[in-house]
Formats: sequence, structure tokens, C-alpha cells
Amino acid sequence: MEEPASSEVAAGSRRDFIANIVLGTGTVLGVGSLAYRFLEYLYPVIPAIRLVEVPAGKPEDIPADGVRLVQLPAGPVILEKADNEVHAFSAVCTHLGCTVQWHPEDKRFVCPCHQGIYDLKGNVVSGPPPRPLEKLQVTLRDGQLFVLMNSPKGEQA
Amino acid sequence: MKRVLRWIAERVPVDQELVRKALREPLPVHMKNWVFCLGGTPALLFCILAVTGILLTFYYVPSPSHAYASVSNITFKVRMGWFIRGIHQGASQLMIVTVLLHMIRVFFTRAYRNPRELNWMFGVALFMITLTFAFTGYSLVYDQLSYWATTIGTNMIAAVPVIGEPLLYLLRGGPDVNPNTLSRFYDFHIGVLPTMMTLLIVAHVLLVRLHGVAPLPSDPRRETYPFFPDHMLREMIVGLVILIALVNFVMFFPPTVGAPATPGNTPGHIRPEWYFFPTYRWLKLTSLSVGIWGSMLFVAGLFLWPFIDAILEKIAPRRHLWVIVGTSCFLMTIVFMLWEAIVG
Repeated sequence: MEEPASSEVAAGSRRDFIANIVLGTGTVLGVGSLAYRFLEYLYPVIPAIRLVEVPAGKPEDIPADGVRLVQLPAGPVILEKADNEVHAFSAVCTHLGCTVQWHPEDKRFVCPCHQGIYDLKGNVVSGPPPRPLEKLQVTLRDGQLFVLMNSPKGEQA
Repeated sequence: MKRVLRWIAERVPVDQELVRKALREPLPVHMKNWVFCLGGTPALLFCILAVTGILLTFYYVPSPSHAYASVSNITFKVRMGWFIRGIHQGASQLMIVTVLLHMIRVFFTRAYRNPRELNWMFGVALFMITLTFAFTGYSLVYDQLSYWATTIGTNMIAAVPVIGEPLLYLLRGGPDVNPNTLSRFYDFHIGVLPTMMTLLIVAHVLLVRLHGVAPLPSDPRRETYPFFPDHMLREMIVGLVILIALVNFVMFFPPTVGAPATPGNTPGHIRPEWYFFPTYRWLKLTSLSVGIWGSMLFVAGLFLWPFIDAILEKIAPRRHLWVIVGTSCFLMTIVFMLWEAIVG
């Protein structure tokens, strides 16, 4: 190897310095890229969100007080009937994801987890929820209700 | 016997003098007060939890379709299964109690001050790991409480700005609570967290030994007594009392299982374990973002407390602001806990 023209000590320390830089960078890059692969392995494959039409019973199934809570494969749904028109909401509380419950005596939806309260139209009455219950599109075909919602949960690899 | 010992000593060439010095480390006499034995108890409970935990894995099946049945099997069928599970559950509750008591002791004797700030931070990290242990632990039972606690807990993480969503996906192994979630929580509970905790306990104890026990300014006595056998004996007495209490507790209150997890159907009365009551009440009182930010700020404050105390001392010397802040935080936590416990 060729020696630079400077003194022995300077050459040595410069060589050490370069060696340290190369080794240091190499270690950081090597361990870093390995750690990145590990993280990549742990990060789940997220399936593309598909909108699907889920059958949700007949309008006649909705009881006289106008509210029915159905468990669909894609999650719990509230069907609300007023003046022969059916509206649908997701029954998942917008606060932290529990399922709301129908309280017919005061016509409210109550989340049992942190006492979020919604009215008949899914609007927040009181408590911590940041948004109204999510409205879902519902269609009536051949006497059967269909709710348009995201593909069933728990399908990821 | 002597020959055996010599044989070992020759093969493990440790400086005998060093071992003797470490074992007979002189402790200030104020340590004879039982309050100062609290730090060793979580370590002992951790050992009990490790042993019973390993035993539980012999029968537990970490999959959504089998988890609940396997826990019921352990609780009702396996020979002494109820006992092992009961000890595990009871020890986890006691661990939180003793960690809290130890923290309160360290706080009110102000033992976290310069140069022991880092060890306070290790301690807070250990407390957080203890809570995560408890949280992932009861998720594994896969009853209604497990399922909904997992849903709420992971959704709270999603509410953290910017990194919330990717972190949520990473923790759940998908966008929703799904079969991956249980495997991940199981992995955390039996692999990741025990490793982290063991390393941190070693670091925590090592720092205590390197600094020596924090002096107690209110106690002018200068005498000392050795760690081994004197202090060790006291720790063992505490350990035995705790073991007796634990076994009796399990005998009189054997473990049970709740209703199986039903996604999409939150039961009417749902509440986390008592140690999450303050957070739970706080979340009921505030909007989502205030709830999350408030909780994060509280943990950050706890973590950085030695530095906050130093700043308070500089702003208003000898005003005892640390007592005021500490006592009010402590009382607020107790009030929130009792509020949730009584009103529900």
C-alpha cells in the first residue's frame, strides 16, 4: 500500500479514522437494513378495502320501535325505520370501537365502554365520541335489504 | 464439600473477595424499615409469574378458536390448573400493587434525584412494562373482557397522531382485531416483554448497587448493616408473607372465566381491571384527543419527573412544590380510581 507523504503518526491516525468511518457506516447500514427487514416481516399485508353488499333481512323484521341491531359478517349494523324508509348506521362507536346498544326507553344508542350517547339518527348527544355513527348506504331489492359496507373483517394473511 | 467447592472455584475463576464484597454491601440502617423492602418484592413476584407462566403455556393454545376453551380447560379440568392460574393472576395483581408502593416510597423519599434520575426512568419503564404485561395477559383469556379491552386499547394507539395507524397495524397484525392479534399479544406476553423486563431489572438493580442506596436526609444515623445475610433475610420474610397471602387468596377466590369473546357485541357492563380505572374514568370525561394526549403527557411527566422536580426547585426553592405536585397527582389518581370503582 502506498504511504502518504506526511509523517508516520499522521498517516496512522488518518488510516484509523478512515477505517472507523467505514466500519461504523457499514455496521449502521448493515444492522439498520436487517432491522428494517425484520420490521417489514412484522408489518401485516393489508387487504384492499372492498365494498360489498351484505343482505340484512327484510324491512318487516325491524320491530315497532323502529330500530334493529343486526350482526353482519362485516360488523354490527343498526337498521332504523321511520316513515317506511330504512336508514343504516354502523353500530361501532366512533370513540374506541365498542358496539353501541339500543336503549328503547329514551330512544338513545349508548356505548357501554365510555358512555358515549347517540340519538336515533346517530348524532352524538353526549360523552367522548368524536363523530356521529357512520352512515351506511342501504337499498331495498325484492323485499330484501342490502347494506353497502367494507369487506368482512379478519381476512388478512 | 470443600473439594467440590474448590473444583467449582477453579473452573469459574471469579475473584472471591469481589463476591464477598458485593454480598456484604453495607446498607444504611434506615433500610431496616419495612417500607424499604418493597423494591425486592416485584422481583420475587416476577420470578413466581415466570414459573407459573411457563406452566400455563403447557396447556394454553394461542388461537382465537381454542384460547377460551384452553383457559377453561386449565381452570376447571387440568389437575391443579386453577391453582397455577390463580397464583399467576394473583401475583400479577400484587406485582402492580408492590410496584406502585415502591414508586410511592421512592417518590416521597425523593430518592430519584441527581445522580439517580436514570434509574427512576428505568423504574418507570419497568412500571409501564408491568402494565403492558397485565394488559396482554388478560387479553389472552379471550373472554368478553379480553376482546373488548384489546379493541379499546389498540384503538387508543390509533388515536396517536401520525404514527398511530401504522403502529396499530403492527400491533394488531391487520386493520382489525383478528387472529394475528392474539398471536402477537401472546408473543409479547411470553417473549418480548419478559426479555425486556429481565434486562431492565438487571440494569435497575445494577444502578442501585453502583450508586449505593440513596441517603435519607431525615435520618442522621451513620451506622450500616450488611446486605447478606441481614437485609436478604428481611426480603425473604416479606417474600414468605406474600406467598402465604397469595396462596390463601387463591384458595378462597379461585380464578374463573367470563363469557366467551363475541366480536360485534359489547356486553352492557364492561370495565377493565382496577389498575386501569383511572385511565378509564379519564377517557369517559374527556374528548378522544384530550384523553389520549392527557394520558401520554401524564406518562411523559412521570418518566421525566426527576428533571421536572429539579426545575421546580430552581423556580421556587424550598417551597416543596414536588410534594404539592406529587400529592395532587396521587390524589387525583386515587379519586379517579374510586370514582370508577363506586359509580362504575
